[in-house]
Amino acid sequence: MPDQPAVTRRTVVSGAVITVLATGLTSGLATGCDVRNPLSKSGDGVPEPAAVSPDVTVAIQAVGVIRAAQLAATTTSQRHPALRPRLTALLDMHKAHLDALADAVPDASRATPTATPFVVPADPKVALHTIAVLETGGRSTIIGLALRAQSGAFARLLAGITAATSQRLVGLPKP
Amino acid sequence: MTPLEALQATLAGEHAAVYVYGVLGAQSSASEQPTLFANLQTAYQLHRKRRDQLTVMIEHRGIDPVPSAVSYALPNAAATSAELTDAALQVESRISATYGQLVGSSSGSDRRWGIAALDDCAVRQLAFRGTPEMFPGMES
Repeated sequence: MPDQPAVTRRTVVSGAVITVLATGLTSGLATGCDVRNPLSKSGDGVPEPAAVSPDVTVAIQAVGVIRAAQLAATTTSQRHPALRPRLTALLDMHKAHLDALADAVPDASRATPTATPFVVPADPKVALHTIAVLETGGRSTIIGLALRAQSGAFARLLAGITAATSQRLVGLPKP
Repeated sequence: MTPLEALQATLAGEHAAVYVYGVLGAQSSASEQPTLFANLQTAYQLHRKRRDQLTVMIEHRGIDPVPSAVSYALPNAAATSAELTDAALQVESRISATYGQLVGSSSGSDRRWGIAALDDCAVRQLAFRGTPEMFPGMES
């Protein structure tokens, strides 16, 4: 086999985050006057949104998708303790993915709670099937986000997240 | 790394994977190791298909695809079932990292294709006693 590049996940993740943050910084520098305090007000008194780089937007959306999946698995695990052994690894994976994305999203969006509560089906089999459906949908969404990512390192990170989800889906019912 | 360089590097990886899987298949027994044999055969066919797809993708750019080497070093002695399984797992792990590199160095349809291939390799690792990872394709 040809030699592979000596790149660790940690360095790539850090690189992706730095790239994401740097993209936001340079886009702000390039536009100069577009760099605004999110709480600052324009002349008519209406707060203006802060300029956010495209990859930060992608990261925020990815975090939202993973948080929704995390919430579903957590509440399902609480409602059906018998499923806990099968869901623990899934939850560990979601935590690792959120940790990897944490530095790429602004503090404000990090603190935003997930909006929609998840209703756990009463039948454990149906509940597990629902988790599989949600994970599959989330995976598809993150693939779309990986295609939108401008940073190659960030796209690779998101592709790794979807591949990890695919591995976990092997142990869940077919959606 | 340019997109073309990443495609060439991925093709080089697939040349190696096809070679190694050819040897692993020849070292396994369809009658005594039916599951392993079937998994190796499936993997061989899939990597050969990926190699051919990459060759076409590069040729469409008017560039000569990187050729295969005469031979490649095997990951281990590839004599026992355990060694054959471990060798296959190593192939999938290494090619996953190569596809991760392709994802990071490309865009559009090439990136989409790389994501699908990475996903495929990550799942196939499980057939060779691999355990799920947090970030397949990120480490070499």
